Amino acid sequence: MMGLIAQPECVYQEVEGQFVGALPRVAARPDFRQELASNLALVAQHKSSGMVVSQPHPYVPGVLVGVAAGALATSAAIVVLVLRSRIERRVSV
Amino acid sequence: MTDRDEALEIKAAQEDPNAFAVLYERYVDRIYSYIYHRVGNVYEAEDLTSRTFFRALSHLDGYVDKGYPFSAWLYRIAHNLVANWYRDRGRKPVVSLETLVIGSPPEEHPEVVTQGEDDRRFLQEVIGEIDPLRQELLVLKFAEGLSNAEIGQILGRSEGAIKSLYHRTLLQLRKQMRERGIEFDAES
Repeated sequence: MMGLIAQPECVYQEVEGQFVGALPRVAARPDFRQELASNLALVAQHKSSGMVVSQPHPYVPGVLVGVAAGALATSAAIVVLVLRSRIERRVSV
Repeated sequence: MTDRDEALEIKAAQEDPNAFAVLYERYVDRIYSYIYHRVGNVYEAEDLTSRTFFRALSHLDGYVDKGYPFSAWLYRIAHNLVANWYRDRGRKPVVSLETLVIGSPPEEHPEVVTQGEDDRRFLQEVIGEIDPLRQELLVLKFAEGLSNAEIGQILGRSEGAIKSLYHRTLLQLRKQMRERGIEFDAES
């Protein structure tokens, strides 16, 4: 049961010392920083003038809902057509 | 920069959104670095960084100082956006650390490609084998230099729980290093 038995602090420090440099901090591209700063400034101006700030929404969920609704409507239409053709066949017999 | 100074800057930004630029300039690299280490892709990291700051700006009115640094609030927003990003794409929330820094073109982050790159690659491979929560903890600890209390605030856990998790993570890393035939001085 690793972790339940108290370890000497030096054990943690030793491992920590090994790994601490494994994940260096990285900086954003200057172009990106500048562009985002400009966009935020624009949004801030709109916000201070009373406009509602909204984030761009990903279109993927909308597409999925549309496809699902389309598939449902198609299935319903097929069921109706099948039932109708069966009824017509019975009537003609 | 004292906590009081920053509190005044936040208040100023709440009253005038144009003052948010000061906070943005201070934290954009830290938030970007955190997200970059989580998603391992410059373009996704830039997109999620943008979303983090847009969301921060739009929700700034609701920000309340609970005794944690403002940065913890920003990291929390970033943490949630990254989680949603994984969920929306049906990806496993695994930080593939072995392909993160190493997989990026050297010209994007030349500071990463330095001496000792082999050692770093090896250590990242070891980190890449542990579970995602522990990987995130290591990113916040090592890359961002946050305290246990700040990490607890971001991950929604107590300071004590983070400390305990951190120790268990270090022991797991030691175990995995041992399995690769690497021993530590403290054990001898």
